[in-house]
Amino acid sequence: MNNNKINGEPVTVLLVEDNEAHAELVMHSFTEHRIANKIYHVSDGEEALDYLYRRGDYADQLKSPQPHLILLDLRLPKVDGMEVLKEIKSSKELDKIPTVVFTSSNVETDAARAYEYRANSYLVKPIDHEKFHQLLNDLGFYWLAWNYYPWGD
Amino acid sequence: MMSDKTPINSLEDTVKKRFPFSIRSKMLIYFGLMFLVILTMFVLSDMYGIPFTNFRGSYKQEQSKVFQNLNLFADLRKERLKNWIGERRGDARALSESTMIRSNVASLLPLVNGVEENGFQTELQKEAPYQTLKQYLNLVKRTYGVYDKIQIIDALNGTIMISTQNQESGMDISQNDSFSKIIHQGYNEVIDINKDPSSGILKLFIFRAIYSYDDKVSAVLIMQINPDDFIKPMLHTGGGLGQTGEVLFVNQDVKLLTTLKYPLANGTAAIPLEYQINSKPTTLAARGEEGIIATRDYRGVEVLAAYRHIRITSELGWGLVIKVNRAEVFAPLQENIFYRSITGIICALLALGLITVIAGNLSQPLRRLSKAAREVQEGNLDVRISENATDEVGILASAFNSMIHQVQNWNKELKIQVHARTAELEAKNAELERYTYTVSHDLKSPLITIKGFLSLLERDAIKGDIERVKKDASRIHNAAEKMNQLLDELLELARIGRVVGVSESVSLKDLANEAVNLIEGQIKELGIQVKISPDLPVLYVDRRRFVEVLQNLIDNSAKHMGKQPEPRIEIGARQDNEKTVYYVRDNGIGIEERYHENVFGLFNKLDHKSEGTGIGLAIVKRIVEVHSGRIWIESEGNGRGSTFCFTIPEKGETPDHE
Amino acid sequence: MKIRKIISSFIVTLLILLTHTTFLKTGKAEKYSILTTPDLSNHPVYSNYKFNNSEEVVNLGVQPVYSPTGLISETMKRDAILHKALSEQGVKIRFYAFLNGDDVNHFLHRGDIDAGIGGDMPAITAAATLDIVIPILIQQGFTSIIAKHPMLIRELRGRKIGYAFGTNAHYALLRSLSSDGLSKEQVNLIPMEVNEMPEALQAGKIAAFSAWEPIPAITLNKYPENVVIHRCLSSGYIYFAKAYSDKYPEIVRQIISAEIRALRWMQSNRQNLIRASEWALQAGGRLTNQKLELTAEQNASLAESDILGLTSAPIIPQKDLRQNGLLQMEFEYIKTLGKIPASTNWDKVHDSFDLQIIIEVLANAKKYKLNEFDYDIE
Repeated sequence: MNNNKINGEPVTVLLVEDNEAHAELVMHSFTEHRIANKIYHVSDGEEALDYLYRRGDYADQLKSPQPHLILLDLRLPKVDGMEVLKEIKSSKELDKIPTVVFTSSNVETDAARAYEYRANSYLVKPIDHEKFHQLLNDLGFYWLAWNYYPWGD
Repeated sequence: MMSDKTPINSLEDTVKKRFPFSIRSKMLIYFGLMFLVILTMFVLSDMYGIPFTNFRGSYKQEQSKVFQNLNLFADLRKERLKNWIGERRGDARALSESTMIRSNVASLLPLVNGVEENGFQTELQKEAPYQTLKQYLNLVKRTYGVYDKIQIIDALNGTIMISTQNQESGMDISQNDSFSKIIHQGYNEVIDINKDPSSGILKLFIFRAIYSYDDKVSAVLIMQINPDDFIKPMLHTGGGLGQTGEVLFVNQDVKLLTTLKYPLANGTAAIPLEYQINSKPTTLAARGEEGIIATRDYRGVEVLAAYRHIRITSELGWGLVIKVNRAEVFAPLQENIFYRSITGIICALLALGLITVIAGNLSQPLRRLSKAAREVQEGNLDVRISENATDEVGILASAFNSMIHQVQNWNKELKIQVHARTAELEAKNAELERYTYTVSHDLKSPLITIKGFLSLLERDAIKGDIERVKKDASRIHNAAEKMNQLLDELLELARIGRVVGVSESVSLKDLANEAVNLIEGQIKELGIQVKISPDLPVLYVDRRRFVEVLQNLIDNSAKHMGKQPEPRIEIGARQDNEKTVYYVRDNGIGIEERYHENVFGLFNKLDHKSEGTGIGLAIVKRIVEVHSGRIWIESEGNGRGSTFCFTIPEKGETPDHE
Repeated sequence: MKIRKIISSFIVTLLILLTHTTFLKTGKAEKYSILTTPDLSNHPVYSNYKFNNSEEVVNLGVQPVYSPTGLISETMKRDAILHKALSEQGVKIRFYAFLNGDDVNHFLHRGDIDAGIGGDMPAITAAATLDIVIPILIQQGFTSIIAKHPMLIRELRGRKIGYAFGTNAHYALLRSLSSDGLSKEQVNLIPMEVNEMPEALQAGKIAAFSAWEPIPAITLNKYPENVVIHRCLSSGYIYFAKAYSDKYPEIVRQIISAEIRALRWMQSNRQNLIRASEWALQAGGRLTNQKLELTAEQNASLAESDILGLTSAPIIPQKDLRQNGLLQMEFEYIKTLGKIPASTNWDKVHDSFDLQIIIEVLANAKKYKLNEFDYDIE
């Protein structure tokens, strides 16, 4: 691990989660594990897309750097998580960004659809906190330490 | 319905194999047979009679007529012959018994004795009795015209005393059998036929005794007749005997007395008194029998012959045969049978033709029915048959039609019901899925929160960070509360689907007022103006539920006013194409079109920050749909407000949704 | 089991009875022979006859219902010349009426009568089984077969035919059947008295019957729709027991003279014929106890078609007596019926016919008063 830098950039994660409590838990875990430098949190699908496309409130590139990982909950207000996923993976700009679905739903059809929309991974939030915590640790390590990103900015 | 046709097809094939007859052919066969049998019975009984009764049939009757005709002919001929012979015998008797003859013979006889044979002519001629007798005999001969010759013979020495034929006197005929019979055997009359040796002509003789006054035979009278005089006319067969008719005369030895109409087998002509004609009728007639017989004649041809026996004297009898070719005499009968049969056949053919037509006619409605039934079998329920027939078949047809119509209706209804049920089921299934989804997703979520913050709480408690501990506890509390709420509202939603109260007619106005009252506090707090239109129509719904509907709608509108300075909520109704549409309108933030469907979904919140579980609108939708109504949103979003519209079918109407 | 036994034995008894009765019926008709005479002692008519077998009486059996012999015998009955001639011999003549020649033969055989009138069949039978003399012809005419419709003889196959057993008509019937190829086994012969026949035919009990005159004439009179389908020539004679004839030749001659005389009397004047015809009908009615449905005129015509129209010198035709002539054929046939013992020779029959008697009478016309008439007309 390169001191939370990937190719000279600070490790950036975009967390798309409408549940405040859950968002807090996630950020707490990431922080505990020192996984990422920057965690950006949006609460609905529309915001997520605005961030990624750098439009609206997120027009400033500096304020909204391209993340190295998108953690995406499925059930979102305004624009549904699946829609967001679909949008990301069909966009030339965004489709390379690893997008991991992080949701309470273990419904098979959701998982299947997610993979259909080319989700990089599908993770189910464990109820047990130990596991929750461990998962996020592993997640961070995997995607942000081990995974190799070919681009620089 | 009948998708599997295999069993029916095989049944049909079995039936076709065993009973390859349609009703039409069955009718044709039965009625045809029946008619044929009856016609045959009738024709047969007409022709051949009815057994055990007196009706013998036309054939026998015609046959009887033929026999009668022939018999009549034969009897007439016999009668004529008998009469003729009787007359001749009468002549002979009268002559032999006449005083004139007797006295003159008595006078002449003494003169005869002693005269030489060659002196007869010369000497006796002078005697008066001779001349008287001679004249008398000649007179008789001339008068009657049938006698060739009349002679008187001397009984003592058998010489001809007087004869109508000259040069005969003096001839000796004592050896003549007939003469002997009279002289020696006491016969007073002998009749004989024989042939003249020189000319071959048959001659009939009547010998009659002439008695003296002491009853002794003194002389014999002989009268000779030319048989042709009477036989030839007898043989004439015109008038009733047909072309092949023939009359035959035979003597007791079955020898011909006349000529035959046809030549013999060997080409020769039969010679009378020589040719013995041995056919059955002639033999029987000669033997003394009389009757009618069907047999072969002397040519070998089949004939019908009437044979008679004519008794001349106690010694002498003749046979008479009248015959006609069987073919000719029975030709009318054959013709009769032939024409009757032809008529019968024509009748039968006509009848069969008629029966075919009638069978066709009668069976046609049935065939149509059967055809229609087949079509129904194959799935076509639109088929109908004409109900024109005025008989049971017509009743059957109309019953068939109404049955099929009924089946069609049932089919349609069932389809609709199945559709509806399927839709319901699908909807329920979908809802079930949604529930499951909800459970798995939206109940797990708070659990994750609880578990997570419990862990953090533990850590913070150890650290002694009370502030953080409180925050953590608060998170936990909220999550638990959320779960509770969710569970309650889920149950509520489920319950709404199951239990709908009694519908009553209630004005929208009343409903609105009630709803407003319930959330008065909230409304006042938010400073929302609620306007309820006057003259609102009456709905036929579950009152409590609809209060809830309006409550939720108002609540929802209230929560989504956004930055609206003068928030307003309107409750009213309008007419859309004869349908009453009820609405709750607000001037809040509005809902973008793409989210119109979503908002009714379970736990869908557009704004996560907003309060509420997101279940309210789902409940509203559920209630409206349970009442068979429809709910939708009219809104452009972008702060232009939203109008929640719904329709409820009138009491007794069909559902609005879908 | 017991019931079954009873029933079956009952049925068996019934069957036996039935067969016996039928057997008895045919037995009576077929097996009857003059030599084994049935018992006529209970006959309703004959049992009343009181025969006088003394020398002073000559008994003549006659048949009033046998045309035209009935006319002749009734005339002879009233012949004063005959009675006178017989009384000169010290003899009276008694006439006994019978229904058929068979019955005549029965009483001739018993000796109750000395002479009888019978047709050729009874005459031949008597000649073969008894000793008789047959001197004179008394009938020569037709027996007829009467049926309901004109038909061929062959159509009688299997039908019922009424006949009087052992008579002219019996033989004539069989001859008629054979003329069209039928044997007696091929028809159903029903024996009956001649006077029963017309009614039996009308009632349909028989399809046809064979009878001598006047029965056919009566039938056609009563039921004109009937027809004659066949006729056969047959003859009749007066015949005497030989014993009697040998003993009393003169009486025999007187009797046959009476016949000749009767013939000539009837031939001489139609009135006489009619009268005789009436006498015959009355006598026939008395015998059969029923009115004979025939007029005197009709009965007279029957006689005229018979011997009366044929001769006044009723000499038996020699032709008939010829070898293999009609009478011999009849003789042979009667043998097959079993009425004459098979061993009987034709000569016996042939020699019973004696033609000389009548020739002698005819030659002595004056002596036997053949042309004189004296009749008792009441």
